[in-house]
Amino acid sequence: MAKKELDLVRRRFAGLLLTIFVVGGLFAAYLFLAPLYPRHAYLSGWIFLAVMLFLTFFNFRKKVPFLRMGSVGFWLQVHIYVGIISGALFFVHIGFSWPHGLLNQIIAVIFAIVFVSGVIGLWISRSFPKRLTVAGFETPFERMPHVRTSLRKEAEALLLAGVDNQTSPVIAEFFTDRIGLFFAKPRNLAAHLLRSQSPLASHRSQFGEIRRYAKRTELDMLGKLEDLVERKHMLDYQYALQLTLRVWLFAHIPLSYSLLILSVAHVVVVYSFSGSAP
Amino acid sequence: MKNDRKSPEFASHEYVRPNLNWECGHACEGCPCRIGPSPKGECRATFECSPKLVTKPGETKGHWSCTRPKSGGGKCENGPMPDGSCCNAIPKCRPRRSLRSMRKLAVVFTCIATVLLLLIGVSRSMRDGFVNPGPISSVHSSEHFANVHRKMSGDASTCAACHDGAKDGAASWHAKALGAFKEGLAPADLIKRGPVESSAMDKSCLACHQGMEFHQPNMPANFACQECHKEHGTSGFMPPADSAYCTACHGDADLMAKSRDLGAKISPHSFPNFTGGSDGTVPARVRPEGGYTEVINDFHTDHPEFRQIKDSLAGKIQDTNTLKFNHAVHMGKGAMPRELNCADCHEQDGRGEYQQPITYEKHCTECHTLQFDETTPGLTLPHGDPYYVRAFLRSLNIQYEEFGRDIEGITGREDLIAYIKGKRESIEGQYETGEDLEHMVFFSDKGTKFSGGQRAAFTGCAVCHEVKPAESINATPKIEKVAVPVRWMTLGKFDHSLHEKGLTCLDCHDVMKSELTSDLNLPSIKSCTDCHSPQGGIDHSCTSCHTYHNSKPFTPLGEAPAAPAKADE
Repeated sequence: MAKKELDLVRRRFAGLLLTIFVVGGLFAAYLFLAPLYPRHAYLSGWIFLAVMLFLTFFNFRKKVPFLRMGSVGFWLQVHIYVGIISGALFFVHIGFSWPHGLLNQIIAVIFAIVFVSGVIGLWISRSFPKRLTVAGFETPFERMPHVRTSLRKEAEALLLAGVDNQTSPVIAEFFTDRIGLFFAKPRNLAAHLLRSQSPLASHRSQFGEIRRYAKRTELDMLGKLEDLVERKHMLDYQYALQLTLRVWLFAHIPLSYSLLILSVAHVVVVYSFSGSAP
Repeated sequence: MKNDRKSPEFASHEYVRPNLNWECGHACEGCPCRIGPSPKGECRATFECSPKLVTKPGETKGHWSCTRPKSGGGKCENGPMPDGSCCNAIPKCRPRRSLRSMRKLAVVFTCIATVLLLLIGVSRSMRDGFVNPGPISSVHSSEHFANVHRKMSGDASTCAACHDGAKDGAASWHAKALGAFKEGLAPADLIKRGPVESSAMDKSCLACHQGMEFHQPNMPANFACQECHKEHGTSGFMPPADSAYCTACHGDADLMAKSRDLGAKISPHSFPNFTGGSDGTVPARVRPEGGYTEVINDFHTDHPEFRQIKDSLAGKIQDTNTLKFNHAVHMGKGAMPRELNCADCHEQDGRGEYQQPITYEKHCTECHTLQFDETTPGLTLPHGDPYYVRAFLRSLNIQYEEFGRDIEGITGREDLIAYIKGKRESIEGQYETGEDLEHMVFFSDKGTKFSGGQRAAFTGCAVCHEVKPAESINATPKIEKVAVPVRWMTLGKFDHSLHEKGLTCLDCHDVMKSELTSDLNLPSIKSCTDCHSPQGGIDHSCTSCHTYHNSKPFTPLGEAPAAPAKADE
């Protein structure tokens, strides 16, 4: 296991070093060679387009796992490093100045969103799994509704069992007003993303208060109910993070295709307006 | 610290496939049906099982048996209905898309929106603004330019003034792009070094900028206008051409060698030699041997010394003005009636760039009067033509009479005769004969002495001019035509007024020791690079002195082209 981790670190270090080398090479080429090659913007544009196609290819690679073309993990690493290089290539292509013109600005803005969403996605995909593991109560995303329903049913069953034993109306009201809806759907997503413990603390505080009105026989039930609430918080935490792990792709992937379409249009416009046609 | 709360456990048969496009509407409640939605997203829920008719031996009708699988809870207690239908109907749901399917949908919608955006953008009303990559310079975006273009082509789109692509609309773009890809912007062309070669777009530029000549004919290739004139960068004036465009060729030794070889094969008449003014005030500029092909990367590093300086040091050129002028004497203190400044003689032209021609009447007459008769101040010889001088001297009686009447105010006839007689006797006392007087006037070159701030007495034309004796008895002595050069360096431009701040004339023109007219007194490149360099902080771009475009070779009407310059000239 330790050897595997070491290999991973080495591989990442090598990849990062290579990326830095390529990015440095690009900037140096722009500084020293661009004045000698007047059509460098066309050249960097074609390379940029090829890089974007390659990056989009990663999405297709995921869809054809039967082709033996290296692991998805390997391609993900390549996707990340080439993605970083594409950022440098973008700056080289636009000459380190924000483009004018509506079409060019739209392309630049979309690239910026795709690039930034990629960086955020990279950070999310590297940091969130660790947070999910550390938090415990790991649950597959697709199974969460089932678990949520189970928790709700367990809570309701606890309360109904108490009603038979003439539960205090205060506890019944507490469940109805504050706890019942909490089990109905995912809650406090933003707070969980920010690692805020305030929703849980609030519930604990409420349980602390309600215990003062509970009979001795009801304390056990309240303890179980509080445990269920804690588990629901953990489930919500898992849901918030796993949802984010999936949702960032809603910006990254669709806009990547949009970028490709606009880039092709950009090539056509630039070539047809270049004045080089006979 | 890791939380040791265990993950919930699930039955393996309850695995949900996230790659399906639809999921049961009850999934959010945690109880999806077993069959799930159809691939098209339709709810397929009917009953929990399809009862099976079981006929035991001896039975004729048989009975319906529940077939609900164990994973669904096993056989139900109530069993099927008498008619064989299941008693447990599954409530219908509205299937909902999975996240994966929603992402696919987002991709499709985004692609459609992008294509729509493009279609709207390239529609006729929005096209120019949409594809325009940047602001147009003030000249090319002016109303006047639009009107001129409209008159020339009838096209309302000013983009079409330069770009062929804008003429025929978006439908032709792909064909034009393909043409450009094949002709000028093929992958192999993109890695070509050097400036962009002339393209079809140049025709659009030349439609208005007619007659523009492009540099030297020994260039390995003609370059596109857009190489230097960058449009779509600013809404003000077009930015000046960057020096990098010049040094892309002039800094390339191979290219310069190629250009030198090419120049040797081209007729010298093809080069834009500047023949100078016919009066000699602007010296001719002849093309140096090998042309302008020295390798130059920067003005302050390897720009060659100015040709005039080099040639002057080598004795190839000098100021050939025949006027005898000594800067050191004129600028010296004490020797002159008053202290002279450069500006007393060198006056700037209206634009402040160059100096106006120096004339005797404006700049010399204050000191150098042509008073030939010591006793008659105010009576001076005419200047400009020796014939008139001789005629003046040979009609002295008339000159004295006019001077006495007009200047001295002598009106009485007797008084005027007496005045002329007195003057005649006086001049005859100074000069023995009229021939002596003429000879002294033309050929005397005695140095002039000043005392007490007085004007210089006239001693003879030869003090300042080259005077040659008359070729025949009755002919007039010949005075060489004076031609004071007003401009030496015709290859570059210069603005004297810009250099007045913080600099005096003497900072660049070292004339205090110059005693000969033949001295050029031009500053060397060193005096320029002190300021025009990164260290000096003043602009040192090529275009601050030179222009890329040349005028056509100067050929006066009816004359043959100027003879090519010899290398050793």
